[in-house]
Amino acid sequence: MHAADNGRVGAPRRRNEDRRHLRGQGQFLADIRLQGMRDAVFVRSPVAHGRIVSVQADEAAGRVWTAADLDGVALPIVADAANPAFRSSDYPILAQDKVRFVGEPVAIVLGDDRASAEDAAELVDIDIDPLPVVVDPFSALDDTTTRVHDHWPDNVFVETSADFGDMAAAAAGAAVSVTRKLRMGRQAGVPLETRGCIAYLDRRLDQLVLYSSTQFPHVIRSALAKLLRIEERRLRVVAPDVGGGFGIKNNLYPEEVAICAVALQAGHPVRWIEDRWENMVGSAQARDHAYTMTVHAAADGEILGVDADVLVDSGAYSVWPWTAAMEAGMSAGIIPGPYRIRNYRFRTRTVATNKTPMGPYRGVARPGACFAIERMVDEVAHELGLEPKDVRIRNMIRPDEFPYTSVTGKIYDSGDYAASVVTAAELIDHDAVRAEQKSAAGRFRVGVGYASYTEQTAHGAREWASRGLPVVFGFESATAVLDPSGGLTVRVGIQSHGQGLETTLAQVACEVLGVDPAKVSVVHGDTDTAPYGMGTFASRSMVMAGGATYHACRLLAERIAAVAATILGGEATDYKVADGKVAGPGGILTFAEVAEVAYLQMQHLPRSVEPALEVTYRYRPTVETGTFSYSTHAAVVAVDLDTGSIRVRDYAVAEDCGTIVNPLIVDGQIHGGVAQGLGTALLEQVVFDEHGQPQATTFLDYLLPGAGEVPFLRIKHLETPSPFTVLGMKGMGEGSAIAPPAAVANAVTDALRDLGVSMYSTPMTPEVVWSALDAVTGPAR
Amino acid sequence: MKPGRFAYCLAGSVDEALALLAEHGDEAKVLAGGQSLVPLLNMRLAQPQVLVDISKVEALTTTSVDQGLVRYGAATVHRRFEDGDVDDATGGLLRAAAGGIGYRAIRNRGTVGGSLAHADASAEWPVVMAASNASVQVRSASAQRAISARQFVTGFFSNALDDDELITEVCVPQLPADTTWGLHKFVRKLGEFSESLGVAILRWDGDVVSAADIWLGAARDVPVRATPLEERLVGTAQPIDVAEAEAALAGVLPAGGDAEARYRRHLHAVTLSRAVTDAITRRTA
Repeated sequence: MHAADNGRVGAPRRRNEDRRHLRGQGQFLADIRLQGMRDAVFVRSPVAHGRIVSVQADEAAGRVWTAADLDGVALPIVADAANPAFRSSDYPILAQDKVRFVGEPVAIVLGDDRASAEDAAELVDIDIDPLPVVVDPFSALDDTTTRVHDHWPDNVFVETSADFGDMAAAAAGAAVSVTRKLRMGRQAGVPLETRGCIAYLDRRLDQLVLYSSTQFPHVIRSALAKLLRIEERRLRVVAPDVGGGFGIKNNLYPEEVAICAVALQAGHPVRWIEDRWENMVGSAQARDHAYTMTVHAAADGEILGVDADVLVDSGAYSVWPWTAAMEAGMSAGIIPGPYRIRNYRFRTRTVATNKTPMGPYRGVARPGACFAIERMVDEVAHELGLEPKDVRIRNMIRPDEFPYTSVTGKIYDSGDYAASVVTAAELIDHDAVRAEQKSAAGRFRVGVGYASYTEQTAHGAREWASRGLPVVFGFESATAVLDPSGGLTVRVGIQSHGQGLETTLAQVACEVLGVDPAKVSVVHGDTDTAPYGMGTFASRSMVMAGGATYHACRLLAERIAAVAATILGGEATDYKVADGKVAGPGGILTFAEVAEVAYLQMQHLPRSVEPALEVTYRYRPTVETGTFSYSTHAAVVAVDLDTGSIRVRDYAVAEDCGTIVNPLIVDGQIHGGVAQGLGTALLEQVVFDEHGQPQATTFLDYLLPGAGEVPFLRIKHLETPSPFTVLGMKGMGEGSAIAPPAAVANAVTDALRDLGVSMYSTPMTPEVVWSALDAVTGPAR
Repeated sequence: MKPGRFAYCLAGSVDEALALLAEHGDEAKVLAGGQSLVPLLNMRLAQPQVLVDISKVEALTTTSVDQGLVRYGAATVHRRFEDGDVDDATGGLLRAAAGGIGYRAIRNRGTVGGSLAHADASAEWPVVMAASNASVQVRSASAQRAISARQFVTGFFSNALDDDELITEVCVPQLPADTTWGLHKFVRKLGEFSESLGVAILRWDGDVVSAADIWLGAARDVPVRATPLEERLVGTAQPIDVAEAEAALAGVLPAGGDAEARYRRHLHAVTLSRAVTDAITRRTA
């Protein structure tokens, strides 16, 4: 048994990256020290909306950068969707004439350390004439007097709509038609490590270098080239170890551009580390959807038609590169979910408000969409007197229907959706909960709820282009190289920030070449050493970088065989690579022996065999609407009728992400996603008062799920390979954050429906639950 | 979130600390475990000129028993109460309360004196010490006095200390044999400050309650004595149900307000009801 047998795809390998992380030897942004480096502090708007009258500072503050100092140095960020109806706006690097949300950067001061820079910031006085604020998204729809962007006629970024099939027929043929309003609250993303960047001029290489805690260094580099008008070859962006991103670090932020501009002018390295208050007000926020849903269904539970109205509150600016249009578009595209729905109509509106801009956060729009459709499935089931899980099964696309093109044009590739429902019900012991409910007594009520979803992952050019983004994320690169001593390095364009890709990509390499994954270097994050790539987001990396790595290693294997054939005699095609060796009719050689010849004794090679052993492969998926992993979550809750507290007593996940590369990592992703989903469901809430002042800016008020809030999970994996990807892999990093709000809301509704209470919004705080109970039953209870 | 400038003094003794406080008055703040103060410094909500660090003063960490009182040094960390490293004058209440404060890491550093001085009415020590009728021993360079824990928190994060005074000990009367206690803390997330905190100490005469101390935290700017519930309990052993507690609290907590205020009043009634039930159960168990 070779070590490599335990390193292939499917092996539960411990992670390579933990060699440094568990010893505290990682190198995060704040660990980087450069000579002469000074700390920057952003002076931020204290009001949500206003005209800047002046920015003045005591001399003791030192140099103060404002928008005027960036004139001619940095252009504003512009993130326009391709839709011609999308309203364009500038996202200034430093606020110019107006401020549009609390926390918007206005000025920059420097200090020898952060504390000194904060001292200097206290000496900067920003004089702002306040303007009325637009805070509530529904008000933003109606208000044309108070406009976030003055050159717009209103506050609507964009409106979209579509009408598929025949809704009138669906309504006419329905036994029940159920209409509900649903709301998913606004939240923050809260990576453990906040954002940060360091910029400096490398005079030896004639480069401006930006270290940034980012998820996509190459794309940032390309964007900076345009905004700073510096040739891209003279820019280098490095993502060091990144302590979580979840999408929050997946935007081009004004701070990154600003720090570059300051470094260019200051002549020394400049660092900015975001503090937690800044992260809560200045980093992109998420979710914040409002739905009006109508579902028409037959008596047997078949869903005949779905009518959706979606309102998204995108905050003050459109973030780059996603644009303010993406969230609503993604939601509308996936509301039909894993179901066979052909009559589907939607209207979406995305509004601007005087709040922190919205950006993608784990799940991106799909938690909202899942909440909407999955709550409606339960509502319909209840109207019809059917078990919600059975209504799901009744409507799910069947295995023999794959590949299935959804009504919105997404190609669902493979799986057994109904099996995930059955499995989840078994894991949670559905029948036991129903039995327990029959003898309900006392001041607690128990309920069980399900939520199913199918998640688009690793989508390619066609899908991104259809979303109308300013850039299209269509391929991924991998360079596989054997060095002269025979060691394997894989350089990739994704950016692992918790996904364990330094391990899983090594496992893919092991699958092809038989090298022990612990001995494979996976290099990523530095635009100077990693081949151009899109970064890590949209659950794409395992499929895209894994596909590129697989093919690069296959081609490398051919080159190894060619060299071996030269040395040992015979045809290259008769030589096979396995277990870190190459064997054929003439004998066996180690990689080290082959590499020695290929680099340093290549006088033996004919002209037809290229020296060195390095291959770069650009992976472009054959089906560009992605590959769909799916899951059903089941939650059992106990609701305290006196306090409204919800305890998640049991939680099960039956999921299918195709061929699993590393089950430890997949389980880890599931746990993390469920934890964040429970945060969305029960705890997390970004609140703005009527003046647009954020109310929850520290962990005193913003509650995150901890070990006490997340139960042990029951997990079962189904494994239906994708027919479209290398090795049948699918992405799965986000999925587990998608279902929990719906599953928990369905469980709480299941617990309380007989008392007249249903859940239609998140977070389901004790006050929300108790107030709903109190409204129905009154004080004398 | 970095503090403004300050001078740092590590006090070697109580006298040294008191001398510094006498010299600097309201420009100085006492640093013990830092679990409340340091976040305030980082957010620049407090900007003292001088920090007087008392965490290494041994005299402030000793515990003694003296004529029916357990005298806890002000710099005794919560963990020592939680782990039973110090005597529990209340037969378990102090230990239970300590174990609910924040997280273990906080309990390793946060101190009973620091918590009282911080005067947060939603924190354990101000409420529990009031219920236990503890007294806070206070010294300045020129004088010393005792302040009842029931008068120690004077308002929102405000205490009864003068600028030059230091808490040296918290003295808790040992509860008599026929006494039970109950504690109920409502949080949405383990480790956070209470959204409602109920403490009940019941003195028993045979099968019925003869006297009761029932206190409520996180309801107002100071810990609140739930006198109507105390009166209701004397002479019985009947738990107080939520509706009864809510009615009894009507005179104690401000009325009116919005839906959130209504919910909060209800929540406090639940907490007190459960704390009382907890104390009654300990008698019959």
